[in-house]
Amino acid sequence: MKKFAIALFCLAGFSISAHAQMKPEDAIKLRQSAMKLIGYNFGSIGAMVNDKKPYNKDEAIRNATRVEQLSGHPWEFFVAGSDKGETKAKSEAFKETDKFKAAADKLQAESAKLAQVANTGDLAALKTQFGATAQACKNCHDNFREK
Amino acid sequence: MPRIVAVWDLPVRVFHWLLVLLVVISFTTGKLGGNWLPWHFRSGYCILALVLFRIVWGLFGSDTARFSDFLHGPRKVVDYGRSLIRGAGMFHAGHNPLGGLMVVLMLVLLLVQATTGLYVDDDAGTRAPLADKASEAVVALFTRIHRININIILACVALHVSAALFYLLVKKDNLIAPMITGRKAVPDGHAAPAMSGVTSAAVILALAAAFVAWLVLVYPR
Repeated sequence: MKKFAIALFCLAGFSISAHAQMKPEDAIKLRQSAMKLIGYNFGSIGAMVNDKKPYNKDEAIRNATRVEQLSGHPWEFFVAGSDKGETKAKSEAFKETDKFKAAADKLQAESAKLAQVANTGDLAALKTQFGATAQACKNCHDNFREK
Repeated sequence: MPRIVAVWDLPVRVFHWLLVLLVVISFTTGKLGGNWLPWHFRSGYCILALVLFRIVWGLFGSDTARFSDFLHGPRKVVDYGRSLIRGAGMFHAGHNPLGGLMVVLMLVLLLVQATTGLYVDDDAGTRAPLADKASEAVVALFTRIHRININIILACVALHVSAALFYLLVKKDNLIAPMITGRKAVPDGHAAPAMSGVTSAAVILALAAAFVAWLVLVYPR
């Protein structure tokens, strides 16, 4: 039992340090994957509100819920050392961490509203909140991502 | 005795000042993004229609509106530049050779900007009307061009405005007022340019607008 506890403790310790010492290239891939999924779901809402595909309330709710759930995800992968490599992230994202966090928080706040509005089924309101959320994407891209 | 004659037809003047307004709107709404984006799109469509109109008007319009009147070879441009350094510069009822160069440059840059804009994916949920019509490589390239080219346009606008102010303040030659009134003093020995009717311009503009409407509303379906 004692041996087991030690083993468990070591394993836990290992997994924590593994996360902290995540390889930069893995962190970059993970945050880009999270962004891709956000982009896929958010783009689907964009296509609906811009009349490029028919509005479907259930699909919009599903997309918006996923955007909300994923909107907190990419940021944990901006780990030390991942400012170099196959990334378009500017070095500012790693230096101006307060400003970067504020931009990430803004996306999460707007995404939460997006999910709320999607649930009402009001397409006009969804369009407006889509714009507000897109602005959160854009402001962060403008400041923290290479063109 | 210099005579006051019409040098810019109404279509050229309306085109010029509408373009000023629309470039300001496009730039501002593009920077703001968010719920201003639909206005960025509309403004861009209007610019595309206007530029297409101006290209056709440059072939069939009034004397001073035609490319043949203000597009010259490098030699004439250099000669004019020299005459400008020495003194007032050779008189031109319409665009001088340097100004003519700027007209063509501006039209090309705006045509590139408006056209690439139709294919942009802003990576923030919005794809322009023709983005789904092209490969992702083309979308990525045109998005990049759209973002770089605006800086070239801004530089040209700055140069253009500086040149107008240079003529006004240094050369004591007001080029801005004639672009509003259409009229200007022409020295002896220079014929008054022939002006075309407004109706033909309206027809060309309507056709250009119809083409752009088809391009963004019907063609992507």
